Amino acid sequence: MNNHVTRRTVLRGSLGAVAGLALAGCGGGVPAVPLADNSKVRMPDHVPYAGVRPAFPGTEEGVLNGYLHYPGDPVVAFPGGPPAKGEPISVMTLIYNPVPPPASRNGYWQALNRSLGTELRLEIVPIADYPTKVPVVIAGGDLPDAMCIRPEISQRPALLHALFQDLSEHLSGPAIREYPYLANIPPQCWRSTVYNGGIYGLPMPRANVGSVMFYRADRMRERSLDPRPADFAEFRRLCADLADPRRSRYALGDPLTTVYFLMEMLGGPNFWREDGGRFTYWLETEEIRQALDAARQLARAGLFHPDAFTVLNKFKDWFGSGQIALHYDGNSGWNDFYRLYAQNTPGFAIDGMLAPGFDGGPGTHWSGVSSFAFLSLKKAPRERIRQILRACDALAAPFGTDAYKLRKYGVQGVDHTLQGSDPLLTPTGKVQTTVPTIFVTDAPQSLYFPENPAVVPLQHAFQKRALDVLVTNPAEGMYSETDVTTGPTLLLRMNDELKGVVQGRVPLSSWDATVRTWRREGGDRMRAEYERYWESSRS
Amino acid sequence: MFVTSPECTGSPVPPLPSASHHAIREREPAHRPEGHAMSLLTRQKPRRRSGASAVDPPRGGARRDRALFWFTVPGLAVVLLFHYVPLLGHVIAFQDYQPFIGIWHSPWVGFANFSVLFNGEEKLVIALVNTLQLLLIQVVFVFPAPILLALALNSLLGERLKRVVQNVLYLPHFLSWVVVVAIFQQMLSDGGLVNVFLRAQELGTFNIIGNPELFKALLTSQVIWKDTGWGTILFLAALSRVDTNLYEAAAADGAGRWRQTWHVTLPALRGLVILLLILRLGDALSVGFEQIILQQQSGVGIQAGEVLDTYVYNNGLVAGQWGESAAIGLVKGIVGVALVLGANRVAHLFGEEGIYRR
Amino acid sequence: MSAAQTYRSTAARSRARAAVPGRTPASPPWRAAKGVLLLICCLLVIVPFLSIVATSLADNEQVTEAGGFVLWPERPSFAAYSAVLAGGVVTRALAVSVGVTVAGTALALLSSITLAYGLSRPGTFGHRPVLMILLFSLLFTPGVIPSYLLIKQLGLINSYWSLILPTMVNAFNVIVLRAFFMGLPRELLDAARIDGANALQILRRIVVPLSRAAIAVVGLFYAVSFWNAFFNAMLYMNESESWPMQLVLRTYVVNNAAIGAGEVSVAGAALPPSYALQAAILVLSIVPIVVVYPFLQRHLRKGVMIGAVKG
Repeated sequence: MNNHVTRRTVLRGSLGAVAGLALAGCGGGVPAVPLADNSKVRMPDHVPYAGVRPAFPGTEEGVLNGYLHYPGDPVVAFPGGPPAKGEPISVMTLIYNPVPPPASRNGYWQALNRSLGTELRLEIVPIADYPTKVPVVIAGGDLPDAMCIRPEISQRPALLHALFQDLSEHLSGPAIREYPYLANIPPQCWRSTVYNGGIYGLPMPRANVGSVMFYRADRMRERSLDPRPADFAEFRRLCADLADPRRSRYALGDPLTTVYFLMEMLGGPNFWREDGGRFTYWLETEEIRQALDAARQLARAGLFHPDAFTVLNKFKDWFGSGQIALHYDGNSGWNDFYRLYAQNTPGFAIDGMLAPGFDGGPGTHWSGVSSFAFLSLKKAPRERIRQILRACDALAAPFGTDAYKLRKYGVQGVDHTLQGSDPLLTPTGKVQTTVPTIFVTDAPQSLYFPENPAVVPLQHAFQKRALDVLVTNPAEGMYSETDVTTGPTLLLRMNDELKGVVQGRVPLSSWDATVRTWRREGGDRMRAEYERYWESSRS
Repeated sequence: MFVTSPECTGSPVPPLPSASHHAIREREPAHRPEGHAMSLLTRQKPRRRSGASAVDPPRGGARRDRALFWFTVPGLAVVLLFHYVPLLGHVIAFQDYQPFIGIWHSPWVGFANFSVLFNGEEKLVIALVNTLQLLLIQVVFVFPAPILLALALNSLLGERLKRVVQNVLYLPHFLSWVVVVAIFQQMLSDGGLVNVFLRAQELGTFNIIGNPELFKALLTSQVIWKDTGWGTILFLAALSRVDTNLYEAAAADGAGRWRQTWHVTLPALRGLVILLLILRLGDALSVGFEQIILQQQSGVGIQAGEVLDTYVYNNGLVAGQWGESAAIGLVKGIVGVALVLGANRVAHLFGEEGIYRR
Repeated sequence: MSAAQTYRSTAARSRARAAVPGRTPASPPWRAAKGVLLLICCLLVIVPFLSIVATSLADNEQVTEAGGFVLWPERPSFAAYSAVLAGGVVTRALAVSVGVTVAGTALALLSSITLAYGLSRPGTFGHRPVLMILLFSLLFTPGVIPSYLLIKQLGLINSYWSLILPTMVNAFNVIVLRAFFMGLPRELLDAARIDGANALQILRRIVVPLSRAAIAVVGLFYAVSFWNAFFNAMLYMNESESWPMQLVLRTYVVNNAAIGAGEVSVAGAALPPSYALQAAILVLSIVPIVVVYPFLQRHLRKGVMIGAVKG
């Protein structure tokens, strides 16, 4: 608590020598706010939404609900009318898509506002510029009502404490039941919103299952190959059978994600491994050497695309055009690949391959990030906070409700047309509905692909198998200042080393030196910070 | 005295009676004795001038001086307000600055933020060596390219052809580095157009992209491809002012084409070339950050193309290190000041004017 | 006499054949070599550009098969263009960009010409310090946060002025302009002064008309920098409605590059925009400059004509 007071006095403007020293200490990467408080936070109750029955029910562990069709008669999410009547709400958030037409010329956005009962004023920033703009706006002092807080924002605990609302009284334990759709968000998503002994934001839920090793099922069938190798040797043989360099056909693209997949075969840590409070990074393990050695074999055998080591960002297209047959990507890529490539390739079919054990038996699968980022609310009077939370509750209305249908597919007849009961976006809808509500908050994801419902059972089956052998990252939801600041560039350098080894440009024998570099330049500090955090959340 | 027909570098010419109202209205430069121009061919390097005030008539000078000063006021105000006021923010170079705490309350840390530049690491030395190598390559190969191209264009037959060529060559300037890199990869990578063609003809392949030895050559050719055409614009503007009488006069003196270029065209560009070179030196420590960052992961290894900017980015200037970023800006600025002032001094030694007079 | 004859005949011949009047033409083999060299240069530029245009007109299948740019659209379509222009976002942004570029360039030229002119006579009052202030502004770049705080203090957030004022005076352009001004024949200026013209009259009647080529070039530099600018708009314009074209286009192209492996899963958004779309965007953002440039080129040529007239 003492530390707390010091920081507050600093923020009020006292520039005492002691306070200055305390802050200077923060620069060294030690979280400034007492960690022990975090273990006392009562997490929001989880009340799964039961209004719609999924064709393929999900599980508490993270398998998503699968639906073949949208309910013909969607449940009315807010029978009492628009939930968030009141002043406009300004939200600063980011976008990956092209920027949508502004609300004044966007019928979808206007309909969304009507359904909320207020005006959702989004200050949209391109994702590439978000890390630049956030600190600038914070320095300017004029914050929007809510802001998307990304993992790259440094000094997060102190920042949240100084400027943003602790939402515990609204969301902790049973309090969240006042916002039924927020209560539907699974518990693991909330982990990353806890700071300074409070809940400081709303999650943007993503699938626990993480990434998928996609394979071109059509090419496997064409050559009568078995897409379920039993061990690494079979996997290598499969890759060799898929490669046909004379026809520009190769097995593998991205060398880095291939290493991830090999680590899944070997049961290596999902970036971090925790064992009795001791943290180990994946690059330090014995498994990574084995994975690198295996990847080198694949590279030497010419199973990678010839530009795999020199060209970035082309892997998806290689996969779509069939130049490579295996591609490791986010699970939402499943639908995207069909949308992007199926119309060009007759018989285009993909499925997910689970890593086999390296020497046989079951392998493992790495979990993904369960929340993309979180939405923090500027400090405000209680009633205003409640209004904003009601608006967010509406933006988290799940699959099967009318609110979800409006949010994702817009207005019927304008933004989408119905095929049976399934909404299909029109060209207008594709442009208008890119309003980035998914980067405000969202319902838990669901498996649903109206263009090709036959895909859903495959996705569901893959998730079930993957969840059985899931390896989580113990550092998820924990905060390490060093990881935020030095982590990303250190990771880039390590990736370069990894690629160099796989490529054969860097000898495997230099790996020890690489690991020493990692430890010296921030790795050991990250470890210490995570271990402290881990310990504090136990007590 | 930079970008001018050579006659102006001669000794002060007294105002000619013939430069009358009429001449001014015709927007026609005063004509000068023909012998003056011809003498250029035999003259040595022009002497440094004693300052323009020599030509000022003695009376009313001070008042006119002030009149000229007032012209600078609007532009100066913009620079002071939008450049120098925010520059005061560089005090955070000595702070552990955090945006949410603010400049007034962030703690002072002395020179700690400068350590990334003075930690004497071997990798930093490599980055510096790479930076200087690239700077040298750029000064030797990239800098003269637009001059040569401008000369070639200037002597091209036919105004229309010249314009078309120019119109084509300046286009790449408008492509972002992301696109330029993509185009080069598309053409030159192992699976790129050139190598696919060569492979089909069984001529063997060139390993260009992803070859550490060729990385600097690749960077250089990209810069040349992107900016040479654009760079000619300034030189063409300078060449457009060359007094064509001088060519005739030189020809009359029996000077061949090369000597005409040497004695008439090049002197007209000399001032501009020196000016631009000095300004480039002010930016010496920046050699294509975005371009290199985009290609560092292209299989050549980080070391191959690590320059000061990327070193700082890869080793310290990371999320939230505002103080360090300001510190590095300060150091680079100071180095720039030293180089510009030094280069200007050197220019003076050679009798050139540089950016300002002594 | 013979010298004069030679002179006259050379002059006549060169006026007839050389690009630069008065210049001795080059020998045929040399000319041919130069022509070939320039042709190669042009091809090196044209081929990638045609390939960009071709890609913008190609369909997805062909682009995917080629793995990027194509050389010729097999089934040309304007789908990419209609996709970019759908919803009116880009057209609206185009209007913003044109407005900012025109107003910005005009103001920038006005303030830069006066500034350069005020500095064009060494030794005048305040000359040295003002020049140094200008020069040093090239060497030190202010930080993002202090600039933002200033714009905020001035009440310019969400105002188009925030896109014009901070970049209105570029020291490089001013120094170049000043160099051109200083290169004007001094006799002419002095004569005008003796005739009683004041500084403003000299600027308007002599300096500006005689420096057309330089002003056109600097104007082009300013116009291009206003046209290409996106960073200040990203910082200062919170409403995407008032974004300029380059910032809007950025959400098409650069965001794609920001999506790394595995990121898509987390973002849960967005197919990467197709190459055709990206190429269409490139074409759209370059076209206005291609259209405007020949007009400026005329001024560049005028400089040549002035020189030629008096021969």
